[in-house]
Amino acid sequence: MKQYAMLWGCTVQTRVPSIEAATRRMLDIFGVNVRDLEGASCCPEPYTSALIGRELWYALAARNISLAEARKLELMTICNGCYDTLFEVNETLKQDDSLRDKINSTLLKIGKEFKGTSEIRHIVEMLDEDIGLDRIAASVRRPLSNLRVALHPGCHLYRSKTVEDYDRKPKIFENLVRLTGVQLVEYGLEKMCCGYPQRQADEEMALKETLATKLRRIQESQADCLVVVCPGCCVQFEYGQIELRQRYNLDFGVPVLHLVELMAVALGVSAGEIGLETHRSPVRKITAKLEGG
Amino acid sequence: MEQEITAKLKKRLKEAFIEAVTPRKGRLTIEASKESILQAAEYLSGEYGARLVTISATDLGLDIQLLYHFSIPKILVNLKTIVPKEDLRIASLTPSILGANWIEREIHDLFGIEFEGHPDPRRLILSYEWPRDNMPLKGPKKGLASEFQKPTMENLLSTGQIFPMSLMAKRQRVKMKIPEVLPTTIANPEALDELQTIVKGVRFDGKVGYDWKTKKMRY
Repeated sequence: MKQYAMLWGCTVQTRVPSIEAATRRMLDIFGVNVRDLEGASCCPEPYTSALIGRELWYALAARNISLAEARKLELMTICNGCYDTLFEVNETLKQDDSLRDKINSTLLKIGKEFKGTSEIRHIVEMLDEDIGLDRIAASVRRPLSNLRVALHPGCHLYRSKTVEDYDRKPKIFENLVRLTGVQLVEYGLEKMCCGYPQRQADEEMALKETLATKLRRIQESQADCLVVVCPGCCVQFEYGQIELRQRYNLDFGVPVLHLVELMAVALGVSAGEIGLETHRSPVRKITAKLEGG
Repeated sequence: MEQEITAKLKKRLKEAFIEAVTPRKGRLTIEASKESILQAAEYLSGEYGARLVTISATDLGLDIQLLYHFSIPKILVNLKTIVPKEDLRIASLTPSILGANWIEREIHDLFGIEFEGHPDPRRLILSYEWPRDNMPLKGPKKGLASEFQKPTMENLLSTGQIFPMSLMAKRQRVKMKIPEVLPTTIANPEALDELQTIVKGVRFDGKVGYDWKTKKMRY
């Protein structure tokens, strides 16, 4: 099995550590060897720095990738935002010689070099390709058949090398959720953005027009919870619900989980062990269904 | 000639020399700190007989950019410098180069820059009734980052991560039996130093208006 360096990302380590706990438990179960990417910085996030200073965005992402290259490891992430940055920078610098030279002249000052020898993997790709859906299905100890789940793949999960490949990862995401035994419910706005990037320009619109629209439809679908595959989306859905309640008196009460948390519970890990109670959305509402299987 | 001037000014200005750009033959732009502009101008004037054509001022939002255009036969040399709005002062060229006299007075009127050592800093364009705190071509101090983006940038540049690691998050992590802190730039000063070297190398700190002392944006 391949060895990976994990770039956990800023959001997971500081705001939703239960995602990291669930990932570590799950990877232990499957015997996947993952090393924390030592010395990593923010990916950096694909909104602010990429918009204000694209050269910095390239250089910091290239530095992170070079850390994995130096250890001859592939770089894995559990965050769509990190994936988007690392994937785009990796592919762009591999193809654009003059830009790569320019970025490497910056990295030279810190003794680093981007070589383009590492691939960027989203965790759903690793689960599908390295572990395999059959093995995962066989490992489920607690099928969550009483849980009705709505999905939010997130925009950056569609990032791909070719147009034909654009929905491969979202389909893997859906298949992985199905393996946990849950009932999938459709609400018709699965591909709509969570609104997190919109906050850069207009917070009110991001919350009231985008986020609330999605949450309303999820609520109407009578899903017990929403499952995402991006910590950034998770934060937007969780903190966004708090803001919608406090600022606009809109209360949806939709619990939000990351894919790896749902999987960890289905694999037999207890909700308490991975700290699901630390979520800022009302995950406690579904604890009985999660623990009861 | 462009290379010779660049090399000589670089040697003379040392740390104050920032960069040189040659967009095409016969044009050279040298950026230097505002403290070194007088020295650079005197050198061009004395060594090459450079003639001051004019000075251009532009409001960049956080700073005023000054371009001193010098003419040497067959080449135009622009000395570029940045004057932060928090400290709108720079040495006057006028005592050394008389042609700077009215140009500096005009810039003082329109942008509020104080040319220290100017022998005759009276108003040139504005009437004496014009309010002292109203510079017609100087806008309010503003930078590229929105209010929403500022904390993201401040955290990224000061810690390498866009969210601070709170005590609560550390406690939660310990309870979940995962490392209290990951081996990222938060826990690795050398890695953080690498990141900050890159930030300075691509001059993102100046572009976004980050103050390394306060670890905050200048606006």
